[in-house]
Amino acid sequence: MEVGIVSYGHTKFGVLEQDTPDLIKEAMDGCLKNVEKGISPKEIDCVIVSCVDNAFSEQHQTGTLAWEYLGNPDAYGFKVESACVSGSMAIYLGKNMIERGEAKNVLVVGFEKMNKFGTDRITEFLTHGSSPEERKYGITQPGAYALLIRLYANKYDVTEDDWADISVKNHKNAFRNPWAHFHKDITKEGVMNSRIIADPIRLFHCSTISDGAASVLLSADPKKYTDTPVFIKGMGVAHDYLSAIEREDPTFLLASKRAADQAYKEAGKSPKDVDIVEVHDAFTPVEPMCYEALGLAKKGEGAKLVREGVVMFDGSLPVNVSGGLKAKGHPVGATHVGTMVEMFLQLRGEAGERQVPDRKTAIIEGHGGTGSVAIVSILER
Amino acid sequence: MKSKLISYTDVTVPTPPYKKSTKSGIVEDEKGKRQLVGIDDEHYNILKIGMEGRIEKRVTDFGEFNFFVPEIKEKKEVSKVALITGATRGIGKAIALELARKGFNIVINDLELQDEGAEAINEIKKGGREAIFIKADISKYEEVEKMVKEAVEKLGRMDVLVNNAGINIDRLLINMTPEQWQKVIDVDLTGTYNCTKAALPHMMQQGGGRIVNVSSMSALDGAIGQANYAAAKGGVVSLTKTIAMEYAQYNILCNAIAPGCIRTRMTDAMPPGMLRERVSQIPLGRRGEPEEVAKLVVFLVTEGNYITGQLINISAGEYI
Repeated sequence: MEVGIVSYGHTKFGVLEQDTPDLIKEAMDGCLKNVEKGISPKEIDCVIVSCVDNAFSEQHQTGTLAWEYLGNPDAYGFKVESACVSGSMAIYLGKNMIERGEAKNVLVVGFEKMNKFGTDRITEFLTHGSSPEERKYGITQPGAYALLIRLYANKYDVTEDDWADISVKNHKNAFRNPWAHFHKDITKEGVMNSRIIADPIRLFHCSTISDGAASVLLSADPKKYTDTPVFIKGMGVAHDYLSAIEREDPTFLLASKRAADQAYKEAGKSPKDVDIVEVHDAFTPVEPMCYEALGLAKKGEGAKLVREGVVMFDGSLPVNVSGGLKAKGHPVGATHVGTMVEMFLQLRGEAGERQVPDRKTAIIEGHGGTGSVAIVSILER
Repeated sequence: MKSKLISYTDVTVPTPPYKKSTKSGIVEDEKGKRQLVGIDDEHYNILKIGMEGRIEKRVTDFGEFNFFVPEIKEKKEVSKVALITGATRGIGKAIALELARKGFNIVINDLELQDEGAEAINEIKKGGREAIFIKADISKYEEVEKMVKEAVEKLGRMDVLVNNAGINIDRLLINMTPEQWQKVIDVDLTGTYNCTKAALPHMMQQGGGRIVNVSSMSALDGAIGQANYAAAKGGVVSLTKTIAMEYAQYNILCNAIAPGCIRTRMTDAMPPGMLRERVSQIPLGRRGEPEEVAKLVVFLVTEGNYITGQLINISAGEYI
């Protein structure tokens, strides 16, 4: 049985006035309203909420809150957390529940309300996801990525120019996305002269601190709700050590590769079948490493895809047409429900101005920490 | 066992319990075992991937840590650089000379070099340090930016900034024109902002710096006839505290001093009766010498590693 995505909801990503309950409700209401052939709440067995840290929103019991908004007393709701791939983990669980016959329809809603605090507090909360040793040494998330990226840059052919080109690419893409946090043109010089956050990571390499929510409706009987569902052909989950120093090769996202291998195997696909991609550009210098983990480039050659224009909007394999985490935004718990919505729309040809023509097979890579947990999904119409 | 540095970073947006940027790295020992290490500020700018060094265990306020101490084959002597505004005479000149005696290369700034400034440059050069004059009106940001750029290009660094330049146009507020108000604010307060703003990026990049702002007794208790000057110097005190808070994390310390009645052209120009009256209010019973103020500045920038955001008055007890 193939699980299909039949509907979606999406709020704007950015610094929003809405609080957590409003964000969840807006994304859920949108999702229910967008079911083309209609659905009754009674047909939805479960609602899974994804959120990274309730400390951001000061709202607990969001599973129950979402259950209230759903309006089916017989359903149940709960929250999952799996760092920056919390959204993908919620979808993975929903898919598994349907495949095992435990549910027919599952609504997944991811959210995060991050902008209640200043950047220093938010950085502090996010650092709670680092290894105890990293935290002890004052290594924040940007710091942990900086250590990885310097290692990578010392080993392989990648330059600050490549990193800047990725930031510029993702910002340009976000211009076409009405949900994106930033509609701001940035220049290569602007990126390369922006202030250092964790040497060599600069401000314009960093993803945004965003509020937002997104939702998808998964179904065991997709055609009952839409004539054009998008199927989750394969999904993989894998882990690696929290601290990069424990990993076999810190310059390679092994968890993402292992998750991709599982997803390709389940889908019966290979990297050459993929024609549109969303990857986890939490810090743009890591984007080439994501290409490599997905098998789209050889080890150490990810930057070539940027230099050759392959991953640009009009390239043969566009990456992060949504604007990516860099510019569409990174409300952590919502992020990878959002990437799922993006690929759902692209495969249905409904992505508006940012539609890439004739896409058939999409892949989404997400990872948490600096690659300690990864989820890869392959979608097809 | 030797360890090799394989990566490093400087986290400039620290999280609690850290208040200042944290420098750390990954080292690998001869058996290929990796570990995280702390890195001292003074070593950060010389780090290179593959550099060898030893691991030193240290207990800090935050627990026990391993620090990487790089093996430095040829230790390069670094001559630190101090820029003093308004330094062709008086307190500024004395500060320049005293800092040069302590080994600093000196940038003397003023509107004109004048004979006294040229003498100071010769004296510093005779003492074996470098000294250059850069003309700039500190009330104009473009000129200040150019000055700091030139100073770094010629002397290579920017370690100390002494915001000493100041003017006064004294009269009762009722008689003070808006232009006279603004002129003093522009030089004494905005000039301090301009120089600090231009110097900060270099200090941050170098891993630290020291800023001393010359305020005044007028900032503490006001002064009849000095509404503009007292307001500007009071502003300098608040600016000092703010700079101290914002840049402590970059190991940049900022303090202000409030000189009392010092033997300068300003006090030389006082009517004799008024000067006698003022000196009689000073417990030590005399004017201070510019060199005595200079020694305080030197202490703050060379020894005052645990002092920031303070206003220190040097007035022989005139203000207690």
